[in-house]
Amino acid sequence: MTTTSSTTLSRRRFLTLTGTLAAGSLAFSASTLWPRWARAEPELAARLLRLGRDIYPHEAIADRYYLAPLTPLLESQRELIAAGLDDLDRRARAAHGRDYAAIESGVERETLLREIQDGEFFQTVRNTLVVGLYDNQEVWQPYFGYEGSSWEKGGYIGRGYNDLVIDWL
Amino acid sequence: MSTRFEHDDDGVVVIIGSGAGGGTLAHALARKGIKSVVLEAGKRYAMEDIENDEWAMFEKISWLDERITAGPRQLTETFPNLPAWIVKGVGGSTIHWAGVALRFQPHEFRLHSEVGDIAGANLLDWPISYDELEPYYVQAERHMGVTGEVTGMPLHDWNNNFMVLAEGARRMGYEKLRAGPMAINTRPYDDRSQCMQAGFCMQGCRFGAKWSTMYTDIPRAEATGYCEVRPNAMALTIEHDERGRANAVVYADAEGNVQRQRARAVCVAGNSIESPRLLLNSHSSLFPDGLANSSGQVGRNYMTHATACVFAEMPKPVNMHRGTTFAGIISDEARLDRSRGFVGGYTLEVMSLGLPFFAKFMDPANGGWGRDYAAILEKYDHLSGVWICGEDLPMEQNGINLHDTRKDQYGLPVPIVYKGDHPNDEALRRHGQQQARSCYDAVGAVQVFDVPDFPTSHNVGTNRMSARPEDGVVNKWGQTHDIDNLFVSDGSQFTSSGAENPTLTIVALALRQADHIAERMSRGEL
Repeated sequence: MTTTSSTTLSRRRFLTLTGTLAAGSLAFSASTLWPRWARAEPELAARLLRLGRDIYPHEAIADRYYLAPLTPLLESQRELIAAGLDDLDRRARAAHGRDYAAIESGVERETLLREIQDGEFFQTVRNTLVVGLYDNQEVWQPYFGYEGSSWEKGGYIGRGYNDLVIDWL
Repeated sequence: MSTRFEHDDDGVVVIIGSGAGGGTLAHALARKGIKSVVLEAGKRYAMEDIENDEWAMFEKISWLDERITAGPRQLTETFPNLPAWIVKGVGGSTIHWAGVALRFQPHEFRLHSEVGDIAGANLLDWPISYDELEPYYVQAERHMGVTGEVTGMPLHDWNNNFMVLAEGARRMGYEKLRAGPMAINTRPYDDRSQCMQAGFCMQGCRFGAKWSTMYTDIPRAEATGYCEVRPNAMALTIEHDERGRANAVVYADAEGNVQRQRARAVCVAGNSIESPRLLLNSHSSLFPDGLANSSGQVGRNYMTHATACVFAEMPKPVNMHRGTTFAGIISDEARLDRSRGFVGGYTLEVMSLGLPFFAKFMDPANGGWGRDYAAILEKYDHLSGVWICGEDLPMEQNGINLHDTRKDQYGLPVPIVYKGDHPNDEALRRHGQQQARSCYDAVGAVQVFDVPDFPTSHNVGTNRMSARPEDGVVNKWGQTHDIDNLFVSDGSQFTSSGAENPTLTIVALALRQADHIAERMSRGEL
């Protein structure tokens, strides 16, 4: 199912997300696009980002759409988040001998997360992200085909509310 | 708008709530020259406040006061403090309703007689028949602007979402497929715009094409000079005189000050959680179990419809978000037919959600995330959805209870909303899910999946109508059996849920109640 290009993309993103590289490269690359909480604690932000991208994985959506809703948690609930990420790394090392973000397989990372999905840490991140990611107008049309507010355009009368041709049967 | 009644004016009818029941009633009474004060817990919104934005409107208009979801159901886990998705604002839940305006079927008023006793269910016939209500259905349809015969407004054109479901349904052999009746104008009607197929029906209609008391009955009642609407006025208790007649309503105003409005009669229309809660909170030495509760049925028999959702991914984009939210109805399964393994029927109503809500509601349980979840969301524009609206049997243990110690911002005990399924509900739901799946399979769906219940918008039954005082709270006019000048005017009157969305029936009952109140006043009885 996975195409070569998305594997490459994955690999590149994977590299930017692994601890030391992420922390070191931030200052010179896209760091100015990162929210201020992420810039204050880039190492923590990078680990939180990896988690967020595994909860709602959309290959094509840029990191900043995950970071924007998630990183305020680093200020509002820092202890919960830091402890949760540490716990996740402990579990990852026990199961795979490496930190969570260093596990290359998305399937294996998801398996680890299923173990903690009922906990407060995970649900806090997930509940934040399910609104913060999908309620962002910038991602609607390009990645999901959702068009958002329509009244100011006169609704969809004459604009495709009944244009479907069922020609696949 | 400028009419003001004095707090000690005992000539006014005090109506609690401004939605389908209260708003309609206030307007109908005003047209007869009967004075009323409407106490609305929420604030007043302008058309400019209505946005095509799911979360923004949810946060803006929803009733978010503390409530506790209880009972053996998934909502208890997924929405522990949001059992119901209803509105706190002038216009009530008519801002949020989706416009489906179906009449009950004649047999649904006498379900108990039709099917007999069912273990575990608290079945009862309505004390009115379809024939008695029929003229008021006609009046309600004209009043609200319901597409179809009565108004002459054509039904809506089928939108893409309905085309998909209907094609599958047709291949299944279903025949009752209609894009209506809807109280959504297909042409200008009653000084309101035609529908622009904008979507977002449940966020409030920015064009005013969908009937809502927010911009019809309420301002029109006010314009007569016979009605004063007080927003931000939360009713706390209903008071009575020594003879046991209601004579005032105590409420908290916008500043939190406690006020007392004297009343000639009181009509309770706060939806099926708040209405019984108010009656229970109004207990007194004369009525220690709450007002109008000699039967013990206040707050009991809470029904929500037996519901479920089924969504399907289609081979091509459907763009379900375009056009009305509930765009079409399949009524073949609405009949009573016990050979299916359950009593009562259900309608299949095509529905859509925007991406923000769909991402949340597709699976709100803890496990609703991951690669498969995200993969479905990436097919958002290929989705079509259907909602099952089925008869929910009344059960005495389902109901509204008051918390022993927890109080809300008004100092009132927090309501605990308890609901479990009768086995009949489960059988109906399974049947509906299977039929919906089959429809989508028949039209070539790539995948079909169940989506669990949302917090419910159809809340009925907690002050039910009954012929005998010992079986229910109100009589066939919505007048409480116990207190001559105390009425219930909302969906909490329902004796059974039917397989139809409740709003049209609430409006028909309110119009009928207005006639009854006027007649009794003219006879000097009220």
